[in-house]
Amino acid sequence: MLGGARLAALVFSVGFLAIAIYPAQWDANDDSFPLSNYPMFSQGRPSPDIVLTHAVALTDSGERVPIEPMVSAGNREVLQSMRTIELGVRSGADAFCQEVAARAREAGLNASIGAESVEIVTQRWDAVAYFAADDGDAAREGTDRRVHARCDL
Amino acid sequence: MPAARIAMVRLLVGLYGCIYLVVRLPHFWSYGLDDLDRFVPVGVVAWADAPMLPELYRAILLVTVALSFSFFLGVRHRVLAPTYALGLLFCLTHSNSWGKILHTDNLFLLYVIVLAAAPSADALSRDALRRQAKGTDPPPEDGRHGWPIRLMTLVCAVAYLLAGIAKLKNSGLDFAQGDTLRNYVAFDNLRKLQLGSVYSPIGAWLLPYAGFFSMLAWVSYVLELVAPLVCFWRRAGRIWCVLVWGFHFGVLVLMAISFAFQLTFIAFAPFFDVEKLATRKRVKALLERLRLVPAQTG
Repeated sequence: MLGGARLAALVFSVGFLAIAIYPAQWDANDDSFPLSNYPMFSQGRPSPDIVLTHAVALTDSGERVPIEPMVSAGNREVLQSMRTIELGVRSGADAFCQEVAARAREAGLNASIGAESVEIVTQRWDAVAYFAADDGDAAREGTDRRVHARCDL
Repeated sequence: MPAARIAMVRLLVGLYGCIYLVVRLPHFWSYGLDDLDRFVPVGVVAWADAPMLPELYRAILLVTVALSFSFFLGVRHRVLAPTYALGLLFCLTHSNSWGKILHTDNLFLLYVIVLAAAPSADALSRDALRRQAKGTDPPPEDGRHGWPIRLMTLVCAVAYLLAGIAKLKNSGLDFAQGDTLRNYVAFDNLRKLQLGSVYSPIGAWLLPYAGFFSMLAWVSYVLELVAPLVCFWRRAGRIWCVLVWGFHFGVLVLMAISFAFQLTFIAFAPFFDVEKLATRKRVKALLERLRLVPAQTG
């Protein structure tokens, strides 16, 4: 390997590695891409409580069925859909609900699960208790339910 | 180091890229958006105030998918591979600029950048075959084919080290000592369930066993923090790769989170003598069919 090529490889390697390590000094909330400090699941989580804003379909049998990401957010990625719903509520829950309802109609949710309306709702659960509980138990229902918008299909 | 090793790594990472981009094309396509309210730019995309025109983004995406094949086959590597790396950098960053950054593609992209900058098509490529047909001597096997391999192993180790440092900084030893991991598994599965997606019933079923999660947390902590050390000891590096693969498999089983690049084991290819794959009969036949090595006559 010639001197010039060796030097170029060395400079590139050291520079690339330095850039990859650089996020180590970032704050936990300063994530980026493709450089990252990989903060996912790094914060302490002493409580099993979860507060989540999501979209549910209200069916003709009175059930509340969570709506899949492609319909609730127009995206297949579940965590992206969570963020899209949060941003949708922040920028106008009623308009966002209409958007979801339009996609739900297009996806045929009225026929497939008997959906009559769509609700954008924030709820709190104890996640550990949720999975230990049976259907109909209070832990499955959640608490602090707040409906941001409801719209008919 | 043999040119075939870095070339085989290029083939594996390139093949992964082709399949991944084609399979995920509808997903990436859906980010052709002009919604300013939801645009939260990161990385190279953060230089712009508004998202790129959806049509232009989709055109770049299609070109990037096409270039993934030229990268895999080693066609005009010096020009097309860096173009592919740039296209991939843009498309993946754009798709992460809508409020939620996912961490499943970082290592894949960093590897592609290294491979694009390196002479990774000096063997097992259309370029190499063309050179051979012209009667040009192949580049000598020396350090030029070794540095990218060493760099990729270090980049891989750094990614895990940073994840360990983040845990140390953000939750200290509580991550391993307390119920943090168990709560994360419960939290992540419940949010997936309530967002209408696939969750892990196995993770949910194991929740009563708090000690199990504490043990897993300790294992992940140690694997992440010792990562840079194993780069300097080949045998330990390989054992570490297998253990980290097991860690990702555990994440898949307990949380339904797929780090596809790691789970295919391609992320760990630079730690192994992958050039030996090319001597296997079936692989050899496949390489011949793809016209990446000269066809054997007789």
